[in-house]
Amino acid sequence: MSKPKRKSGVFVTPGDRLGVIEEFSPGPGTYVRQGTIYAKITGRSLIDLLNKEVSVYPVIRTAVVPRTGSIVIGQVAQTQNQTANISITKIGKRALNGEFTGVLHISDASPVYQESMFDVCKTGDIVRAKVVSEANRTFHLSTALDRMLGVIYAFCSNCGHMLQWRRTKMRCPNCGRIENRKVASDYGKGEI
Amino acid sequence: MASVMVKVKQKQIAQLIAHGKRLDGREPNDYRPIKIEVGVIEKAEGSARVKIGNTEVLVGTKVDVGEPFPDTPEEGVLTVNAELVPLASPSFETGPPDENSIELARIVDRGIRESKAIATEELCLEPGKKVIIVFIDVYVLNHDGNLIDASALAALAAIMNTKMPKYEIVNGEVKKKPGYIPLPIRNYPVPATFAKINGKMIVDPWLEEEQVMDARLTMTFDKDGNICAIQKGGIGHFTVQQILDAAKIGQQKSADIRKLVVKE
Amino acid sequence: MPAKAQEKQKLIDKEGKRIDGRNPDELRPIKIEVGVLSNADGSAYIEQGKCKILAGVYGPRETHPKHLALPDRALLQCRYHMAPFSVEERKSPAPSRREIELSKVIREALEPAVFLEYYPRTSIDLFIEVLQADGGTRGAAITMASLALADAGIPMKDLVVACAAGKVEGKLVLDLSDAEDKLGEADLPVAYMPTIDAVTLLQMDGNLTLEEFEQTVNMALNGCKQIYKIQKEALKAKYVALKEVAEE
Repeated sequence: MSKPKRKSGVFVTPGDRLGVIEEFSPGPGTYVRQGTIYAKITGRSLIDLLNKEVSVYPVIRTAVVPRTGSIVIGQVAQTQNQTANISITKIGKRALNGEFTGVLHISDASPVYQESMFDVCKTGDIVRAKVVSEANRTFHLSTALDRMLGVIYAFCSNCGHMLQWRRTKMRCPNCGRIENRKVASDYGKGEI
Repeated sequence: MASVMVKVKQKQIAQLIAHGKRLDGREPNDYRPIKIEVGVIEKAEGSARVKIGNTEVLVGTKVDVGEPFPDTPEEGVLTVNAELVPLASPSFETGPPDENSIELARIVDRGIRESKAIATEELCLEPGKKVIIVFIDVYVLNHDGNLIDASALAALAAIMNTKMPKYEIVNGEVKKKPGYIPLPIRNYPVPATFAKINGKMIVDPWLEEEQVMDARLTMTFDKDGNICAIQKGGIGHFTVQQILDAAKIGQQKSADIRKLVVKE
Repeated sequence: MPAKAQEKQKLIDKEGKRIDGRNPDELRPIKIEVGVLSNADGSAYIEQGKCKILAGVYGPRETHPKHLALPDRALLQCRYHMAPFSVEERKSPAPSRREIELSKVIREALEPAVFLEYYPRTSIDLFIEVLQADGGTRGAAITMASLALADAGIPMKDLVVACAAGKVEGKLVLDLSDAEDKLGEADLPVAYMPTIDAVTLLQMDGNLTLEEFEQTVNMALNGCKQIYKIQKEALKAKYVALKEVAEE
C-alpha cells in the first residue's frame, strides 16, 4: 500500500505505514502488525531520531475515558454512610458526552478521619476527585490526596440553595443551616 | 440529576442576562445566524435544511393519496411527525417518539394548519373517498436549542418547495398524470420562540439557555403579522406584560425571518 | 436480484455507457465531510450519487443498560436508520427488519478495525441516518461511519472503506445506483481495510458464475481503493481547517 512516511510532521490517518520495528520502536498513537508500524489515530507523525521512536501526535480530539491518575469532576448521585457514587461528567478539561460512574469510599475521602460520608459530601454536590484505581471494574476515586480535591459546589440538604463556605463549616444563606463538607480549595469558583 | 449542575450555570447566565448580555455574545433579541437550504433531498417531494446557529433540522415532505378524515370529507390531510434521532444529541434515545418530539410535531403542525398555509380543500380528489395526504417529517440532526423555530421554518420552506404529482380519478381509480404541480400554499407561518430566564425574556434560546430557562413561549405569526398559534412550555410562568412585549418583538422577528424564506 | 422479465428499459447503451452516463468501472461522484455535527464526539457526512447519509459517534461512554458491558473491551453499538422521506414511498420511522440486519452487518464490518480492547466496559454508539437512499447505502454508510469513528479519536487499525459491484444486463459494473440494483442481475457489496488487506463485509444477492464473482470482487476492491483516497482527503480537509482556525 502507501509508502512509509519517514518525515516528522506528515499528516497521517489510521492505517498509514510509519516504518518497521527494525528501525523504530512504536510510540503513542501507533501499533505494530507483522513487523510494520502503523498509525492508529489521525495526526502528525513524530520521529524521535535520538530514541529511534516513531509516534503520532493527535490533531483531532482523542477519545477519553477515566484512567488511574485522571482528575475528574462529577456529581454525587447517591451517598451512603461509607461510600458515595459519583457521576463523572468531566475528565481533565474535557467535558463528556454522557457520564461514567465512580465510587468514593470514606477511607479515601479526606486526609483526616471522617465519621460518616455525609460529612464529606451529599447527593447533588459537585466534586473534583482523582481516580486511584480501576480494580473490580469500578473507578475508585479519592478526594484526600490534594487541597484541590473535594466538593466544589454544595447545596443545602434542607432548601437546596448553594452553601457558602465559612472557615470550617458550610452555611446556607437562605435557611441558615450549617453542614459539613470536605471542600476543595477553590470552592464555589471551579469550572464544571 | 443534571438539575444541580444547571443551577450553577443558571447563576452565570442569569447574571449576564440581567446586564442585557448572553453567554454567546448576542443581544437579548438577536437570533443566531439562520441558514436555509431547500431541495436537499431529491427523492422527497419537498425538503429543506435549516440551521439556526448549531441547531440543524431537516424536513422532508411526502405526498400520497389516502382517505380523508370522516369529519372533513372534502379536505386533504396534513400529517406532521418529528424524529429526535439519537445522533443529534447525547440526550436523545432510540425508541418511539417521546413527549418532546410529539410536542414539537404538534407545534409545527398547528402553525401550518391554523394559518391555513396549505389550502387543504384543493387537495380533494373524490369527496369522502380519496384525498391527497401531505406528510411532513421533521428530522432533528443537531440539537443546540430552539428546535421549534428551526423545525417550523424548515417545514415552511419544505412545503413551499414541495411538488406534488398531478392526480386524476379514472373510473374510481387514482391515476398519476405526468408532471408536477406545487402545493397550494396560501400563507407563510413563522414562529418566534422566547425563553424566560430570571424574569428576563430572550429570543432564540440556545441549548445552555434552554437548560436553565424557567419557561418557553412560542408564537407563530402568519404573513399578515397575525398570531396563529401559541405554545407555552416549561414549568415557569410569564406576566401579561411579558407576553404582550414578546408578541410585539415576535411579530417583528418572524417578519424578518419570513423574508429569508419567502422571496418576493 | 434474479433476472426478471422486465419491460426493456436499457440500463447500458450500445457504447457501454450506463443509465447515468458512467463507464462500467466508474464510481458515482463522492463528497465526504468530517466533523459536521457539534454534539457528537465524532461525525461524518457522505454524498455518493444520490445517497445522502449522516453518522454520529458517541463514546466511549458508560454502557446502558449496564449488563451489556463487556469486561475486556468496548461494546460497539450501531443503529442504521432511514428517514421517512429518504425513499420514494414514505417509510415508517419504526425500524424495519432490513434496517436491523444492516445495523448488524455494518457493525461487524467496522468492529475489526477498532481497538475496542482499549476501552473495557464502555460502549461506543454509532448512529447512521440515511437522509436519502440510493443504491449502495450500506457501502456509503460504512465508508463514512469509519471516518466518524476516526473523528471521535478512537484508535483504529485502518479506515474501513466499502463499495459495491455487480452485474447489469450481462455486464459487470461498479458502484450500482438504485435502478441498477433493482433491475440488475447481481449486487455484491464489499468492505475492506486496504492497509491490512482485510475484507470485513461481503454480501451478495443475484447470480454470478465463479469467474464473474472473482472479477466482481476485484472490481469492488478497486472501487474501495479509489474511495480510500477520498476518505483520507476528507480527514485531511478537517485537519487543515482546524489548523487555520488555530492560526487565526
